[in-house]
Amino acid sequence: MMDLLMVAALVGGLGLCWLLVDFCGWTAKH
Amino acid sequence: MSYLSVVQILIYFGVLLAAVQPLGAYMARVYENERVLLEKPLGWLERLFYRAAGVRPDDEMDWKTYAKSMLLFNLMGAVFLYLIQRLQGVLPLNPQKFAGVAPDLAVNTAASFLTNTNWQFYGGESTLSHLTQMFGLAVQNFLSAATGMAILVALIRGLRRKSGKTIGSFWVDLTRTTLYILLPLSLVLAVILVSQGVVQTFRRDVGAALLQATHDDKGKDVTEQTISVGPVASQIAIKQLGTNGGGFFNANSAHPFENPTPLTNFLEMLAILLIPAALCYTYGVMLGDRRQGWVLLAAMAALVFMVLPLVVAAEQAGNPLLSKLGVDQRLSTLSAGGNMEGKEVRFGIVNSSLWAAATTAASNGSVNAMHDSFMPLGGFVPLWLIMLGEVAFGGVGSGLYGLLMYVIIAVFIAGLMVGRTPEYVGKKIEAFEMKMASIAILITPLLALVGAATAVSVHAGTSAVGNPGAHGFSEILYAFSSCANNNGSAFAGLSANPFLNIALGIVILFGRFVLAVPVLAIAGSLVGKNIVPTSSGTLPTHTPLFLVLLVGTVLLVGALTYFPALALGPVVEHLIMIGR
Repeated sequence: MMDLLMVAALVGGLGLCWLLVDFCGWTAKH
Repeated sequence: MSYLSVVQILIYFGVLLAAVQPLGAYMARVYENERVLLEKPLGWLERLFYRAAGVRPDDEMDWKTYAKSMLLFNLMGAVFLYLIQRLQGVLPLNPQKFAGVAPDLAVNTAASFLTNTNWQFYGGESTLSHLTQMFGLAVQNFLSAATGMAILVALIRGLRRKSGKTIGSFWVDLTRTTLYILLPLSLVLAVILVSQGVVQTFRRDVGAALLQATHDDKGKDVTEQTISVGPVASQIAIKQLGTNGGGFFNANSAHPFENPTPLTNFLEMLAILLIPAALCYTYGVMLGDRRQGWVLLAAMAALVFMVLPLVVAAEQAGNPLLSKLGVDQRLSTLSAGGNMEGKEVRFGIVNSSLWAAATTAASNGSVNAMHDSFMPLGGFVPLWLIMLGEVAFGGVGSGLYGLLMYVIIAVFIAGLMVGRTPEYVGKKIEAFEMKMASIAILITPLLALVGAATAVSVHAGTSAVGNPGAHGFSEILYAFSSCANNNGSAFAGLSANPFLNIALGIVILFGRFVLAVPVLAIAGSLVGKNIVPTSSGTLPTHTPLFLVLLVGTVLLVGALTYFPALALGPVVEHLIMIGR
């Protein structure tokens, strides 16, 4: 359970950075 | 400071400067996809990687694809690194039979090595198997360094190209960096280190009879000492060259098996700044204007030279409270003098201070002396260099792209002064670039200061501190600053606990990628912009005037964001000390 949580934290952290890519792309157009 | 101290520092920077041009020119050839000598023996391996991964090397990426490839690759690395730590107990190459690493520590270490930070909340020789050290940490040492350099090269392409949308291929940049730059340099350094006594073996720990028997805390006689060994040299070489800093041993480069002689100390110290310095020349070559690279290198050197004498002088002066007790700390023919607490006698004051400045100027983080034992002003210097954002040399790739964010801010300020649209190397700096540069510059102080403030506000944070008062605050501030700026060195005195493992892990992860993504966005924005011809209104960015403007911008941003926190830590500690 703890392992799932920790892997989810890593995936979530990098997932947020993935969203930042899209946010920056959106900012470039607006 | 003795004249020998000055000579040692001058020799160090002289050799470093001499290596900048040849290595920088070579790296430019690697990134321009020009033929290099190593392509003959290694070209087949490069092609094999591409074929195995289904990569077409000629297919370039726009900035979003580049950024997402980078993130995806790093995500896979993070999960792999986490799993290898957790499963090391059942995996081979574990002669000491270490159990799996605890989940919160494993996630901290995975984030740390993924991002070139190499913050270590574990003792390598007492926690990690040879397999984890080699296939987990050492591999990430290469890949995290290559990732930083790839991002820098993408930004350079964005600045140089006049049209199009692509900024190169992340897979090609990653592969060529690893294969033609990091691997050969590491191999050469590792062999030299082995020749000097750095261990490289798969053997388990070695037992040695104690000269004088002692007893443990239960009163039982102890007659033998366990000496840890392992595949050290291969890890130490890339740890320094890749500005990673994570040691095989807990004592890091103070350990005689990592750094046994003055020669290894010199070479390892040289390796710390070698690639970050040479990349400035690479930048100039790729841009077609070497002066642009030299001015950035001069800015980096100026930022370090400003504070280097302070740390050497503070450590050489020693502790005034000990002087009052009659302890002789003066430099003499019989004694190196100074504050030798936490320092190795074989390195002395100068090489410990110089290392501390180099390792925190670069985002290396390895230590050959304990920064926690430095005098308050001596400890102030590494902390200050970290807080500048790891742009005075900085990490491989990340240091220069960090400094280029400050360049954008500097030309913007200059543009405001003269009322013109700011330009840099012919590219107009507009609202989007400024927004992205602002995110890149503000994210690390935000993470460091909010993180440190949170930690000193909760019991889980304060209970981990080894010292009370201002020094304890410095320990927490140093930890969060080091992690947010991906340095990884520790002030020591801070014990690991689940709160700090998770909090610092988050800070490390965002400190790397929330900065890297806007950098790539700027590359993507600039790549399609035409180059504006130079006119009488263009601000020249290769002159001493621009050097002053750039250094001033870095200092002002660093000073204004961090100075109040610094005042509560090392500054107060110094005042208390001299007031006693």
